[in-house]
Amino acid sequence: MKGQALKGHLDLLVLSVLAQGPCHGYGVIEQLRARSGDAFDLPEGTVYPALHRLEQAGLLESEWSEDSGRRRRTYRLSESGRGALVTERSAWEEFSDAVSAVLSGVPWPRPT
Amino acid sequence: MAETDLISDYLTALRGSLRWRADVDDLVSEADDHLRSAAERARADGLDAQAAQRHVIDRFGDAALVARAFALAPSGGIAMPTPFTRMTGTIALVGAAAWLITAPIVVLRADYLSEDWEPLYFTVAILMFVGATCTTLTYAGLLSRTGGARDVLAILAIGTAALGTLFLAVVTWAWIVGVGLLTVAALIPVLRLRDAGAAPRAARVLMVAAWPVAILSAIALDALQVGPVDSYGDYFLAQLIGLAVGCVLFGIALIGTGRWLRSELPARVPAAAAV
Repeated sequence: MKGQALKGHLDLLVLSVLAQGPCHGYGVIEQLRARSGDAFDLPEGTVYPALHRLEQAGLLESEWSEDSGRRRRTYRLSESGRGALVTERSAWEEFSDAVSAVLSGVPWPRPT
Repeated sequence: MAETDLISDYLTALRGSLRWRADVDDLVSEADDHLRSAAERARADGLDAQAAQRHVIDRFGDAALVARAFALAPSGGIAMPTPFTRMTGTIALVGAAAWLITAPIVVLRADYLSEDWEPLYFTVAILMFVGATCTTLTYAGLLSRTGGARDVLAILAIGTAALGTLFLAVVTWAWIVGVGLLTVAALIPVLRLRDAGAAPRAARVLMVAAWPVAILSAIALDALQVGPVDSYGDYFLAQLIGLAVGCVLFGIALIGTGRWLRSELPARVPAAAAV
């Protein structure tokens, strides 16, 4: 699935990964890939602006540490982020159910 | 033979593309940690060092693409559309109007040889002062939008534009110096816009090219001895036509950047979802 298809959903996905516990950027991306069965394929570097945007919005918090001689930034969900995740998840499930309901009434076209 | 550290080369390229950002060290450190961690994983999966580095760099994305994503996303409270940047879009359009109104006035009413030249001269001076003031504020908005307006280069650009504005207001007849300062000041916001791939390209080009074209036009028309000669022995109409050309071109540049600044809604909190 290309990045364009993820447009509008990445924030929800990142929040849901970090709801499992604090994680650095690489770990977030690894979990996104693993939990989607490798379906989410977008330039990994473009996930970081999303992390920064969510932090700027107060939904994430981050702190720096040293690990194996490298600086590492770890993100965690803030209280506001937990609230936003509940709201966004509810909105997504409502949308997803509605789309499924529409599609379920339409037979799959036969391949030509 | 020593192996090439592809990740270091990549990080150097990324740093170059993000050089305007105040938080460039943090951004590069984060990318470094990601790439080294991913490369260690790839090596554990059986790839050799070079192949592992190539693989993780490929997955991370082209440095220019990643830098562009950073440039247009907020980080550390900078480089995002704000109420201020949107307001400067409106100010740019006001400035464009001032420059565009100046153009026909200086050419079509060029009766500076008459004794009644003062009202016209001061009208043009006021219009150019308004246009240049709006231009300076537009530069501040563009700098704020593309990485911050408080670093040394940004302050230098805004200061130079303010000096040009002052010059145009006080010694309007020497307009070439004033618009020259505005052009020098434009280089910093325009280079940052180019790096971010932001604002229409034509507007970016016109913002730095408008006044040089105007000055060259004035010099060429003067050399061709266009129009009457004033008491100083100058072909003043040649200079005024050059000034009008610059006013029109720069006005168009401000319309392009102003419309772009206005088109972006200020970032909301919590942020709207987007990749």
